[in-house]
Amino acid sequence: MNTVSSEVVGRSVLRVDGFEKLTGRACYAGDIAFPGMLHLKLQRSDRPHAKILGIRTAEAQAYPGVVAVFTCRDIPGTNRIGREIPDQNVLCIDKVRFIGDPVALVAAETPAAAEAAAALIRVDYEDLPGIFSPEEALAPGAAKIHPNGNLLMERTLLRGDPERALKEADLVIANTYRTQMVEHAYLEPEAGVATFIDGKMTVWMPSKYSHFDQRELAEAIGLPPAAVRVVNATVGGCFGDKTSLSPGYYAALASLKTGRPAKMVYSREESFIATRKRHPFIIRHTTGASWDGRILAAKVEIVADTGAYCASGPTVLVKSLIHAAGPYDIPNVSMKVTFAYTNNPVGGSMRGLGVPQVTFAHESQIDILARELGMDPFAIREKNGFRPGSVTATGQRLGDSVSLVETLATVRAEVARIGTPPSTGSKKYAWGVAAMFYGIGAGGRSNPGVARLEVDTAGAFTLFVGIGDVGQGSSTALVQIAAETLRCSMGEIRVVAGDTDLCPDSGVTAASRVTYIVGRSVQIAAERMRERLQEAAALLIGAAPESLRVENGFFLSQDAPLRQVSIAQAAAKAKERGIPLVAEGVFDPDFVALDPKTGQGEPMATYAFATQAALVAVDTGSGEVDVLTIVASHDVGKAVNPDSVTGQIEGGISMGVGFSLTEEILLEGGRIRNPGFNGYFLPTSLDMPDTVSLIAEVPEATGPYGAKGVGEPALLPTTPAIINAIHAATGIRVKELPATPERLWRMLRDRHQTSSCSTPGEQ
Amino acid sequence: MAGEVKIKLRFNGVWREVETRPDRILLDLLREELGLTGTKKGCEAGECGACTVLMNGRAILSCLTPALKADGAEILTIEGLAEEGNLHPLQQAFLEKGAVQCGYCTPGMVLAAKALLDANPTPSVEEVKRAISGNLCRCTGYTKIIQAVRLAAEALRGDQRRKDEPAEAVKQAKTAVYP
Repeated sequence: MNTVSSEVVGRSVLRVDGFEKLTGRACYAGDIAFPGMLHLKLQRSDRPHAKILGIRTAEAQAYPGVVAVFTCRDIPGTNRIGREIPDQNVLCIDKVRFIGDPVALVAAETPAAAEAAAALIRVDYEDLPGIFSPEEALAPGAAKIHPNGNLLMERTLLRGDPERALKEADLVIANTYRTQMVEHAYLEPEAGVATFIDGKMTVWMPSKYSHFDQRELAEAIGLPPAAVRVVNATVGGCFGDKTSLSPGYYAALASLKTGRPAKMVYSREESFIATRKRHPFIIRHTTGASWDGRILAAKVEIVADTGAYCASGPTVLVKSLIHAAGPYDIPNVSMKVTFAYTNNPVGGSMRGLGVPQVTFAHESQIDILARELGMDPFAIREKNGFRPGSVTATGQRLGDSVSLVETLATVRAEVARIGTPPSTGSKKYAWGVAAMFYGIGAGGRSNPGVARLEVDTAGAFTLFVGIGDVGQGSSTALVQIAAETLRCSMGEIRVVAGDTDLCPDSGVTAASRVTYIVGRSVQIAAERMRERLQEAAALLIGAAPESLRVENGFFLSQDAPLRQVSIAQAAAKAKERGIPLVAEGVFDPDFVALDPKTGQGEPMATYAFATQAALVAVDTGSGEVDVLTIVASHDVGKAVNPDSVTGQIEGGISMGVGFSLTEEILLEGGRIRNPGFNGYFLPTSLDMPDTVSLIAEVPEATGPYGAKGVGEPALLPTTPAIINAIHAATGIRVKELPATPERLWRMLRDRHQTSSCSTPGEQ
Repeated sequence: MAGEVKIKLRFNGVWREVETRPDRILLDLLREELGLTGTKKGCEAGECGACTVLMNGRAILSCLTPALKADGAEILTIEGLAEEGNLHPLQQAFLEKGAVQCGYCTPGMVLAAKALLDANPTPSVEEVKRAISGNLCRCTGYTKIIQAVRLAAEALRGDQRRKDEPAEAVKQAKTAVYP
């Protein structure tokens, strides 16, 4: 890894963690073992909604190899978790609210003993009425899942006068869209290992936010946060999950109570049952337009199933509100978004935070409009699409880094180049297009990134950041930014990430914020470090600090061209002079909080834009859809590592293919019917389309070297592009995901039985 | 609990005698007995491919293979692929192509690809896709993995690539064009 400076940002350098991952040396939490460690297994609720009358653990206690059985009474701390509303327990107290709620924990000498004993725990329940849809939850007289009722949160947005604009519009279309519950399905099931030595708890676990987990688990199990160290193990995929109430919490509890090291690993089935899911949405979307294709008004009403607990429901709600009108300049918008508790699995953060759902709806709407108006689907998006200076539904005037129209033009040209195969017999081929915008970072609140850089007197740098690489390549990108700024080789910079004892709190790996926000904080830290070293080098060279530049690890001065000073020499001099060998950078993007009633504000400092087009082959006999090609153009501001960017785009497309066609958590009375890969179908290599991933770069002035983000945007347009392509191929409009062969076959069969609707109204 | 049974296997080139419970799967023998944690556990049901290792040169799912069945066999895991610290051409190609993200599917994916290339040094894109279709990856969308396998095939066939020649120079799978 000896990439030369000044060419680091913008180059597809090799991943800093690639060698370890390719040789089997990367250490995931499940790979960690301590002598004498305990193994843990939870008894989880098999009832969707019930009072706990009693928990009988004697039989489990007596099982050979069992060391302890814990219930809520054994937890010295608050036993409460939840980042936004602490409405969940580490071990349930008086009630269970979904199938999978944790009730009791067994610690045993072997995994087999723990599992066998957990099955012997008897819980006496009194069943309560189960509620399995948000409509039921909000109906008058519904059983209360939480003391305050079943409404988690409702927010509204109003801009202009949408009612009047809809009355005056030439064309109004209204449709209801439904999206399914989706599992993150990272390949690494959750795991955690803890040791408790001399009053210090150390927990190794995959986490998208180690510092939050440190604080939450400390309070929950009853330790001061300073006594808890969370160390991010290698993260085997995250996609928004892997924080809060993971096996690491239980390992810490068991270790605290027994003094022994403890380890817990979820099985795949447990990972499906226990962890959070993508929120299912019901979206009623009404759009009004003029005959010339100008969108005049949008009215969006969303009801979502947030499951048994709050988790990140409010974040997902607000993100969906911000984005539900799409990347279009619409003067009149109203929205109402309602999240309701149910006794289904818990809705959480998942790649896109509610935006994949609303993108499916708004991109279907604009496609229907185009068809009704006889317009080209690219042209209608170009006509209404955001440009620099456009105003969003929240009333935010966009800055300069807005290249939606360019991505539309790029994709249109590529689609024309590739062409369309002729349809034959029952095989119908067609392209569909979809666009998106996505705000980078938390919506309407502070979310600072923090980084610390140290140098030793040998000239070696260490970069400390609170966020661990979740697979997307953040550690590599952050080292690239540091190396570019310090104008040294990447090999001179070691990265320490996600260790709460060593690293600053950089915020969470979420909302595509890491490169933009934490990356900028790294750049600021590196600039400060460079200034400090430059000051020391200037003393050695005998020139003014401003006259110095740094190249390939050496300071040079134009005033004394024959003298050069290495980073190591500068660092040694700095130390001697008391100049700190450490520098910190903080970046918290500007925002204006959303007004709680009108939803007006400036929630994010910058937005990413993208267009994707999908070529599908639909077999009208079987309803099977083959996605042949996806063309994707993404405005990322600046690609710090182009291969990582296209890797995100390709991975996002794959996840989008699953969201469109195959992936669905099937629920029956709150029970997951398909908790494994034999019933929950992830796209395989055979399902992956050809991809053309194109990067658009319109720099964001506040980002590191102009960078924004791509992790979530990668996924957003894929599904509506595929669904719009299915319509273009067959005339069938899918409004409920996923478009499984069975669903599509039924719609094709039923087509002739219902009148085709080409007048304004429900399509 | 049934008594321990003694078996002899060749792990990554070294013959070893190990005692195991007869009901143990090869995956647990590797991870827990031998400390070879490079082989990953993703589902324990033969559905994800993360536990793929080579047994006598064939790609097998170690989560579905009884340890006893491996008696006398030669087992190659990811730890045995690089020789003296030099990455195998497949590992090198995965690195260069950006085919690794979270890394959890990587060991199984690389070994499934090795079994393919050992049997078929010139696989087409379709053949690569089929060979790794039992190995799930949630991060990459497989595209760069497929490119990496083809790049490695080329390297293994002895095509002399200069070390710093950009990987892009190697012929990639082209998107189909419909005139």
